[in-house]
Amino acid sequence: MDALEKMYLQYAPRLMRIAYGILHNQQDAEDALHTAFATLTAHAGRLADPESPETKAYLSRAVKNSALNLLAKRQRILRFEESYPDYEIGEVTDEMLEKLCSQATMEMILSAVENLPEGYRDVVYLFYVEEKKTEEIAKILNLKGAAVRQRLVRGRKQLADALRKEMARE
Amino acid sequence: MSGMEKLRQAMIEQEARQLDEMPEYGDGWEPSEEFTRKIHSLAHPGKVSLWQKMGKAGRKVAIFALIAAAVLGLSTQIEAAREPIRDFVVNVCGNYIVAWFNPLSPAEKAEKLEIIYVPSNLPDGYELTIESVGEYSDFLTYENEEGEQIQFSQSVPEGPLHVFFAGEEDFMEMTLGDKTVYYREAPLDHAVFWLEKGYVFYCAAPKNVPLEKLAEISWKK
Repeated sequence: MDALEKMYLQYAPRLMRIAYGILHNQQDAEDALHTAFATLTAHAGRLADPESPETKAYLSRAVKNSALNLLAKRQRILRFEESYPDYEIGEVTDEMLEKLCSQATMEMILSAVENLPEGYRDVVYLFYVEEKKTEEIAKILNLKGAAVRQRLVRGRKQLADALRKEMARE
Repeated sequence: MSGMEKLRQAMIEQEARQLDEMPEYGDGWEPSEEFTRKIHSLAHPGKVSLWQKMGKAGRKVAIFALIAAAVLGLSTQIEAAREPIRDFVVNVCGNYIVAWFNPLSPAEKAEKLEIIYVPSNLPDGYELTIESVGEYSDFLTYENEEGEQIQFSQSVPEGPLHVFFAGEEDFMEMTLGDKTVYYREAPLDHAVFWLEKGYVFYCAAPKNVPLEKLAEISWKK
């Protein structure tokens, strides 16, 4: 049995739960799973241990990305930009965010991340955790580059505002 | 720990929590037949990686077996000796049909994926959705609005190349345009593969893409 099969047998129910949670349709969720596993074939060598927490996290994110991509393609929801109020934008740089996060506690950061709207959080996650470029994120999430850059600016701003608020309360 | 490292850790933790808390899938998931077939195809592509996994000893045994089979065939069928040596040999192994590159083929062979070809003349409405390029093979998937897929791959000709289900899929050699191709027909799609420019090319498309269209595929750098 190869690594891909092992990963499939071990994680498919969890991954299906994630895909279905986003798409609410079995066929679409299966499509998202298939796309994620097809993409994985190119990176299977990097996932040496199918049972490691890193593999679990990688697969979960891969399926979530596939599902979000499909969701955008199917256009079954209003575009994110239409669903959230337009926050006043003031540019928050990486340096400012670095300074704020270094001063804040982990609980404060976790709370700020949890309160980010889903659409912003996915973009911020891909940018800072997976270190993807905005063009790559646009391709992954099936969004326009401008929409990704806008979400990133707004996501940073909301994180900074939330951290400032939390720290002022302390 | 830097501020950005703290942010990354918080994002990973939040994501794991959120995914763990997603509700169970209804009454349990029964994968559809189509999904099962597609995942099975992914898990058993039989491409170069399988050949590489065999190791040197395994490769020697496989090549010896193919040469022995070819020599045996030549000695028992004199007429066959006048036939040109095929680029591919096809074996039935249990439930699978395995297409191998014939090590006796005199055709030009690329050692690595040095020139990457992409398909043109695609039917309208298909867009590239998956692109995975490796050292020895690449794999491209194009998809239309209906979710139908056209898959292409370009591989270095070595070892077992394609694996098909025996019994469920018809498999034959045929001439399409100026190419001699191997053709397989499955319930939902059909595909061709052939040797050209030192590489093995593979194209699978839904049945509504006619066979003639598959033959029209031209490749460009």
